Amino acid sequence: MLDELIRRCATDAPARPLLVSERNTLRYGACQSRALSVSAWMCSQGVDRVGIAAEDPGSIVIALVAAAMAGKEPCVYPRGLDRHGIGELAARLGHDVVLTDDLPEGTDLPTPKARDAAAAPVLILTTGTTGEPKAARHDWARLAESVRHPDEASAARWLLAYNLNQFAGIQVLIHVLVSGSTLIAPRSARSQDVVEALRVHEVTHLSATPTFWRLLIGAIGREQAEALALRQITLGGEAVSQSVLDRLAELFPGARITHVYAGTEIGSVISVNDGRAGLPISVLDRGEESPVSFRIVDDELHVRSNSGMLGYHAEETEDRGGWRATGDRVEIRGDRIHFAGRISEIINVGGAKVSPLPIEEIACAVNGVEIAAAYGHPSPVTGEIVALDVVAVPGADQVTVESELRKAFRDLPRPGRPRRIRFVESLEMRGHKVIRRVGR
Amino acid sequence: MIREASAVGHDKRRTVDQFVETKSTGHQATIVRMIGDLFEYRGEAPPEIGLASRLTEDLDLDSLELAELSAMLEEDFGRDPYSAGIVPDTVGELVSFFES
Repeated sequence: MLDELIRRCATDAPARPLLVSERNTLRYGACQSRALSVSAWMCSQGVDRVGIAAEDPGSIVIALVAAAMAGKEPCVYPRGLDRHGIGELAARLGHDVVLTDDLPEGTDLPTPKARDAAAAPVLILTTGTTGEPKAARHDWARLAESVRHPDEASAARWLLAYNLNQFAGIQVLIHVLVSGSTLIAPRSARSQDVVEALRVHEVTHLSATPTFWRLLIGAIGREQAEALALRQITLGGEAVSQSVLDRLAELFPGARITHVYAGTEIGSVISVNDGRAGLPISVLDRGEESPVSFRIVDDELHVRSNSGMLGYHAEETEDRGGWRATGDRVEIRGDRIHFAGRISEIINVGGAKVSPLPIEEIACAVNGVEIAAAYGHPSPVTGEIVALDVVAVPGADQVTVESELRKAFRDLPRPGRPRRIRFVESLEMRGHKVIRRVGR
Repeated sequence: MIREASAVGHDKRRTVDQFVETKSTGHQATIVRMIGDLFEYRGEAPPEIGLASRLTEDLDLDSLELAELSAMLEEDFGRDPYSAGIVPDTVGELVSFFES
């Protein structure tokens, strides 16, 4: 399926760039020929499934396309693993073959025959922000179904703001391949490098987490924003706050702003384009015949979706089309379903259940705060107290900022007020998502 | 009564004026400052805080404020009575936990 997409563009426009990184440019034609060679090698190995532990996004893309051509199930490993880590993960996932940046060539081997593309699986690991990462099995064709393909799409230039081992990164890659457009990989995820990549490569589409967007907003002025070519702004992977949506609309008045509710297990379930955080309450009215439906059970959102995973790796039962608990706590306010945070991140303060998100919203609105994370800290008196880690804007006076924070928190119900405030260099994150771990 | 700018203690960022009845020891001064901070966070001026002041009856500290006090003490002194299962009644009892 991936191989068909590549073949189409490699035939029509072989010189068009598929992936542009600091080091080099991978064009559709070159990707096709290199992937053919790697796929021949994969076929010679006698395995059905392969791991991909490369750091360079170009190598990862070639390996993914090669796996599709060879009919092998790929799994992209998280970046930065050492040999031991790679070995452990390979053992856990049952991979006898793991490709690295030094891709093997199979130049003397026969070209693989065109496969019956009925099943084209890919294994995607969850980010693991709230536990050990799990391996979700997806089908490329099902994933590509939810991608719409407008006419001018081939001229789009997407920035890669996720890792390709993440579900969201794979979604961006699929968007690029379906439309035959170009993916830009910035030098690093640091806001300065991202802004430069946006400018130099005239990026038109950027899909990233709200945390990524919040940090970018902090690094960019109105003038800089005006000079950029962004026309599609997408947020996903974490709960989206109204303040981030509003700020993005201010900075990029010409752009379409979409937030996506998706997960590695449930797939990409719904896109919201109305400029409001949360989901419209009407989603609860969809019947079970609908491709995606929602229900709320004990304040937790449940989803039933046709684009979800086929099941977890190494689990017997396949989970197609069943109801899945999302782990997201929700509140209905008027005509809207609001996300109140991950259930695992709820802080228990003397019996009161406190969500970190409203606390972080208040903190981020204080002058001098770049970003903040609220989480539970163990307390012998109340079980937990709310702790807050704050990244201050460079040059801000921490004493003043803390005093302003304390003042702002007086608007919160007493259990929700942070009882320990620390200034940190950066928040703990994984895959551009904030980690809120108890007892840090 | 001595009006005194309290010892800054382990946290060099803060200076809070306190009314203190007796001559301060290091621990006492820090503890009094911490309790003063709790009042500041409420948006209230701190009352007289002496060794005989009872934390709940006189100073009106609720469980959340005691939890915060416990966290502050843990951070500055490396230990606190609450984690040891002791619930001090007065400021004096709190101070003597650290001086024993």
